[in-house]
Amino acid sequence: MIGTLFVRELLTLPLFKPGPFLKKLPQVLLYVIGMAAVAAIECFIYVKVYDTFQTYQGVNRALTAILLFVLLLASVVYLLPKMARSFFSLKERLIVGALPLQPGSLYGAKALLFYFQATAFHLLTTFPISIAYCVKSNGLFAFYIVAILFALFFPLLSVGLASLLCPLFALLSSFIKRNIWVLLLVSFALMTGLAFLYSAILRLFVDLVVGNSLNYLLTKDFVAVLLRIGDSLYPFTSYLKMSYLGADVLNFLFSLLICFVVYVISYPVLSAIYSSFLKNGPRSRKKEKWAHGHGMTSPVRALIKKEFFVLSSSNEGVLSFFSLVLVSPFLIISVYQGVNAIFRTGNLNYVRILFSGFEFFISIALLFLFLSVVNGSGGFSLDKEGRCVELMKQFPIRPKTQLRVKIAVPYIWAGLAFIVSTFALACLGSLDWPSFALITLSGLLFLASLYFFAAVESLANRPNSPVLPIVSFVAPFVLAGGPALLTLIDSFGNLGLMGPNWVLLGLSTALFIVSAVAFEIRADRLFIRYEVRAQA
Amino acid sequence: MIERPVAISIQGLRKSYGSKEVLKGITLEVFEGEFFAFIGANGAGKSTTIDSMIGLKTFNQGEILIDGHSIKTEPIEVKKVLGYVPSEPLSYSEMSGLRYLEFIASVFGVNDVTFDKNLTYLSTRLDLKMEDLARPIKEYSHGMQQKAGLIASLIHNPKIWVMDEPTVGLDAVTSHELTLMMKEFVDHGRTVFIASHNIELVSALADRIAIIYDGVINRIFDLKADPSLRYEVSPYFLSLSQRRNEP
Repeated sequence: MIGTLFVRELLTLPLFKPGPFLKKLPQVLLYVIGMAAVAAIECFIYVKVYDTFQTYQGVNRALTAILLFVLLLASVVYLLPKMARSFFSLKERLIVGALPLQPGSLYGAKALLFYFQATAFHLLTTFPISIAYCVKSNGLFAFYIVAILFALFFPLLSVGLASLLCPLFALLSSFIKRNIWVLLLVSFALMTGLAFLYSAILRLFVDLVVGNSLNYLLTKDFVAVLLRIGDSLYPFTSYLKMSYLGADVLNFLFSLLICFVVYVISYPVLSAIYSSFLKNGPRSRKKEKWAHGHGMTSPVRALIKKEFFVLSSSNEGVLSFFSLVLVSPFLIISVYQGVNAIFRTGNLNYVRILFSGFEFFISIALLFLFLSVVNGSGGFSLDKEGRCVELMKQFPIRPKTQLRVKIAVPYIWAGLAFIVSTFALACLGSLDWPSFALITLSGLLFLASLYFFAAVESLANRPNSPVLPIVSFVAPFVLAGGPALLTLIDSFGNLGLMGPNWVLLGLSTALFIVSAVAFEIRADRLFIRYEVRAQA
Repeated sequence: MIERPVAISIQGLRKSYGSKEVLKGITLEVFEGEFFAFIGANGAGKSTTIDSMIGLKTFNQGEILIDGHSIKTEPIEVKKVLGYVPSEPLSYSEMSGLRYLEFIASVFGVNDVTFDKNLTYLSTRLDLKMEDLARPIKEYSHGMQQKAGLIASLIHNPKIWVMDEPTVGLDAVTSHELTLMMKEFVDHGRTVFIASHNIELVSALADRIAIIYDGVINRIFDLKADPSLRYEVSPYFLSLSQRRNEP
């Protein structure tokens, strides 16, 4: 029975969903390439940092132990939301609750799946680091075998810790989701933290690529702190010591036992809580007192409030849209400056000098791609309404008015974030002020085009249409490439052509006009014809 | 003979899904102040007819006039006078009941005074407590969601109340209250258009009952003119269904 249930759980994962192999092949390839890239970048950074600390005795082991500990925490963070969604799903409870299935079997199947997911995570992250460590420290061959063993036992610790924290996490996230302002605050804090972490890693990566010295890390105090922390991380240091001859095997086996014991303790705890959830459902909350209403408002204002609510009430809307939009200025600045630093060193610097417009091309393509990615994740989609599109069709308000409001709410957020980004770049000297004005205006026009095209494609109900992917991911290169090419031609021929920013503005305006006309002509008609897709 | 104003006029309605023609020329008229019922087997075309009437779906051929306005050319005017209750409760479930009703009322241009008056009246009659209205709709039972939907359909004082299986999920007391409300609605000169499988309910309340069969109106029973026809509706409908099931 556990086997059958495990297969059922496995089929819920995107990669294992049934479907024609050829259709899934691009997705599988993307996963493989993505995973390989992650492992490669991780090892690249690790090896470079390892070389920096080469001169200090024991520091590399301490550093590696800290890294393994951080990866353990990352794996727990990775597993927690998945486990909370899986174990405390009201929808699933309604389905399996009525079936003659033992809660123990259901739990066992899920636990097995999470173990496999944790193992995959560690094989991708911990294992390459372990191998890199062994290679760099000229460790024993036997350590490679030990590393595989560790990669199979370590996930037990991840799953065990995540299992113990899972009920608390589920309660907390349920509380946060019920309070929109808490949700926004937590999402913003999370995204800001991730953005700073990302910019720190990016800075490190750029320094390594460019060949800058990392000596700013080699202070006495920092090294001392590393040694102190690293040596206290017992399971990891005992594991890493296995790469040396004469290592204490018992210590290592004991650390494996710790992993096993944590898992064994967590298993019945979460299993009991899960069984109780299946039997009794979620804990009932105290009923709220009747709150006074907000009063009536005009139809358009009501729609605006509704759009904000729909966008902010879904996890996708808050975590992937609002939060991304709020931190996009940090991300844009980090990436923009990072890429500029890379293109000002080595051979790329020669390319930049030789081909006028190259820097412009890279900068603008980057900025506009950012807009596409951030707004693609949660900007406009009629799918977010689900069946409530039928409600929209009943309102005595023109469809185009409803759609304009639907576009305007996320557009204003995203537009403001973009203005802040380019303003910050101008303040930091990465853009001059005339460029700031023109690039900002062009970006806002491009953003509006994205939304108009997204609206039309969404209404036309054509999930396989190439229009939106082309606009989102090809148009940035075309918009950036056109002016760049003209600049290049101008530099050779001295033709006195218009500056690239003006050409960019012209192209963006043209794209905007096309999208706006398409929207104005087709929106009403498509909306009336739009029918909610049948649920699969 | 006094000509009664027509609230709903459907002429030659045809609708296809791909190559399958579901509605093959529906023609009917519903008068103001009338309780009109629409019955038919599963898949006969009841919901498609209602969806076409209220603008949820387009149709291939025909004309639909609601309160004298065409759904094709004057959809906004049509929607102002309609109150619709779908077969499956539909709302922004993350919103609290109160917030959702405020939103619906605002969209329909209801003012504060009317909203408070209607909300108090409807929530009392349908037994949806104020404490429940403060909770998110996703936490409601099916019956409570249906009640919220009923309130939303009436909050703006529509002239025509269109319902698709409104009693599903309601407890017996609320079901009874709903039938009283439907009668009162009609007594105030407004129009009820209901699609239902509950032949006993519609036979007891409706002025006229239309049976849809194989995409067309098969027969209309005028119960106001001849109340004794009430007892013929069920046997006739059952015989039709049996004929449909025969190989």
